[in-house]
Amino acid sequence: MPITLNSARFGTVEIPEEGVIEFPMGLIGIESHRYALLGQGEGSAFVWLHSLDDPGFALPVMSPWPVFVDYAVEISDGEAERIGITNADETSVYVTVRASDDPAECSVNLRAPILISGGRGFQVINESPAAPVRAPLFPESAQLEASSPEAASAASSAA
Amino acid sequence: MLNITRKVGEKIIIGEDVVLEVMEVSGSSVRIGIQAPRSVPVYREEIWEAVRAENAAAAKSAPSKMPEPKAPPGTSPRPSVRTGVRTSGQTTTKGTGTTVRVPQQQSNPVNLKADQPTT
Repeated sequence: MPITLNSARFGTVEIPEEGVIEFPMGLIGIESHRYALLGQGEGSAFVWLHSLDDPGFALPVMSPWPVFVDYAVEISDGEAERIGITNADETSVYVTVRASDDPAECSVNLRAPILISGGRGFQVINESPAAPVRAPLFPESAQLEASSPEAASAASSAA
Repeated sequence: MLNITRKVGEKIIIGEDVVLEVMEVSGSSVRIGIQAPRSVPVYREEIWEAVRAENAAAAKSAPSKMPEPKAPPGTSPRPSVRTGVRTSGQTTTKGTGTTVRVPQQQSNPVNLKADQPTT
């Protein structure tokens, strides 16, 4: 049975059954347990992880790799077992996007990626040391805005 | 808040199946062992709070006016990395656990219609 989503942001959207993603533990700090990914076509890096329980809740997400080419998600065996990831090759990875009109303020959360596999999703804590909560999405802009050389180097090392 | 004084090696049981043990006290640091069912996620509070705040901030934002992000000039996703990541039944042992490298295959989103509003 397809689900009709009456999205506050996008209006009425038909979600096919196979488009429903169960998040048994929700997202961190967010109650909703059922989501769908909504895309705006090939041209955009961004997709929306839209709650099917709360028509007002949609989180912009993207694949990290087109921008963060060396990004790796590292989770422990215990965590992989907890979330039931048995085959990493069939797992999709998204990071949440904090969007802004000012490119210097745009960032993605590399620390807590969202792993989706077999119709189930989990937000996990990435154990990789190179995974900040706010990684600048447009590091050039972030550096231009930095007022001092020290701040610029801090911004680039955080990236 | 309930306050309980414990010595090293003593435990606290929460509900039927969560056990906390004081492993070590050193200066102002306390090392705590946690046994919990696999279905119960355990977080350091400051990381949980940072991610919760970031999720909330991201949900209030909209990337419709942003430029499309791209890789830094002169770089591209390196084939060696991609291959290593993609074939990642490979695991590397790290400390007591195993590191799983996750590939970049993505699930197919439901496509919005072109005339659908984006804000």
